[in-house]
Amino acid sequence: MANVRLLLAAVLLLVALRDARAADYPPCADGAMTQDFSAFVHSRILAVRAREAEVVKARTQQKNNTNQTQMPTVAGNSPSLVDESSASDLVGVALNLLGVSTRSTEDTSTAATVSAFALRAALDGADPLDPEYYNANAGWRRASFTLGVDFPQDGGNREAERGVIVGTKVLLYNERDIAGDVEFEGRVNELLAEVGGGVVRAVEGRMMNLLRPAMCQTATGEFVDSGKVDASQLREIDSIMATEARAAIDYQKNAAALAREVNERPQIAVEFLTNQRQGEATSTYKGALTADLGWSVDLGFVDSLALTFNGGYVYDDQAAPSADGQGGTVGAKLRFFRSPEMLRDRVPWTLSLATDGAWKSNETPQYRVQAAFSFALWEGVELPLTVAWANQTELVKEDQVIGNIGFTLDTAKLLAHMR
Amino acid sequence: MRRNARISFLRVTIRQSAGEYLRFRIDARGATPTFNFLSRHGLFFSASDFSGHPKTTYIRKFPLASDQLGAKTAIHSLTFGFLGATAYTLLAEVRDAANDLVRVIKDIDYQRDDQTDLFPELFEITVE
Repeated sequence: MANVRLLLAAVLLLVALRDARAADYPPCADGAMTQDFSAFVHSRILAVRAREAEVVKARTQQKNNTNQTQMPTVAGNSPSLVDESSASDLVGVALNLLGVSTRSTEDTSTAATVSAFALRAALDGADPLDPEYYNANAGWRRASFTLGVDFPQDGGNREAERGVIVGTKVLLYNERDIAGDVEFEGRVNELLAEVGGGVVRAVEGRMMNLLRPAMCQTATGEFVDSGKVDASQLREIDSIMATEARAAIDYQKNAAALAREVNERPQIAVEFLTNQRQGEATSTYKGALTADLGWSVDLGFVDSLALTFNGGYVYDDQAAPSADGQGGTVGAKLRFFRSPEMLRDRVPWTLSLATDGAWKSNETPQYRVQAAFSFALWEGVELPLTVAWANQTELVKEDQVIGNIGFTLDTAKLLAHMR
Repeated sequence: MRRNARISFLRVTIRQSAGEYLRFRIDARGATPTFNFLSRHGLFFSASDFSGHPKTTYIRKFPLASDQLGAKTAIHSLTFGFLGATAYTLLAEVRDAANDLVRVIKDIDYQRDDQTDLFPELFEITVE
């Protein structure tokens, strides 16, 4: 009987100890500066990283820099001289707002590019960002279709000269799609394992002992009350993080370097575009090959370059068949950017320089040069500002130099931020 | 990185001897979800270990008989990467031998701002 009582007492003691351990953090006081434990540790990773970044600027690289959302070049007043090799994963919309203050918005040139993947997802009623669907239909992201309306820049009968833009683009060579890239995923997994291991080492032991007196709890979790962590404790915690969780501190630059490797791979696309104008106006057909390359550089204000090259055949269909023209076009665009910023879904800005030339049987050679600055209004929404020069006034009106304002929208980026 | 934690406990006790276990459910969006779960005693699972990966929903019991825990109580990290994924939702629950819910440990949404975002979600797990 005594043994049974002893056993019962031991069981009751164990239960009491377990309950005591479960309740050993006091309730969080009203107004306490609390973060749950994981959020607190994450905030210290960011704090240490930010502090170190002030001393040493991480060199990282771009997000995919070749998704075209601007008006295609076949549009008479496109802000882009050079088409890029791939389109948005879903839908890209471009508006040319030049002159919006002096004419109706109904005359605003507009083009939308839809990937075959987005069309298929819509037909299937599928979520395009569902990983299973995204990977199972990777091939559909190689093709995209463009439909738009193009108004000439100058006066005259704008309605009569309105053009309808129709086009398609197919990625022939695409090494930048990480879907199914086992090697890339393996390297990401290695980075994450190093991060997790480092954070666990950092938290266990001294950091946990430092933080336990500052912890409190509510019905939804256990929290660190930052108000109870003094400056010296915070310095010690950050020192532990900087040492033990080195992989977490360095993850941003290591992940960016990994992304840079992917985005420096070449990409080649073939495209066909036509700008169909009414009546006496010239309709244009263009077939082109587009190639993209990327490099790391050290220019101070930027650390990455992306080169896009276009070469193609152009046919101008005039009202009088004898006036038809044909020839070749060549274009190149160099984009400058800071790669850490390109890895954000909201890319703050990009700068590009572009040039193109056209040699047609019915015209003297045409040459254009353009500088463009694009900045983000919101995730996936960019405002490109361009200045262009041409050797012929009919290419760019108003004294051969023209400013241009556009507006582009990438729904893949937008959707990534909407759930 | 935006994180919305509806429930987030650090400490969890699993009475394995009574048939309890921790059930992870991770829902992902994007091209290639990347996450792993480990302690200083070993790596227990990665997204790429799951059959059908990459996929929308990953479910895993912990511990499995094959999991070498190494210690009765240990800090664990479920680390999420965003290079190939745009969002995750984590639901971690203690369930009993009859698969009934005992307690919700984590119920959290994660949404990336940068592809280089990461988040180590921490657990102090005691297995009895």
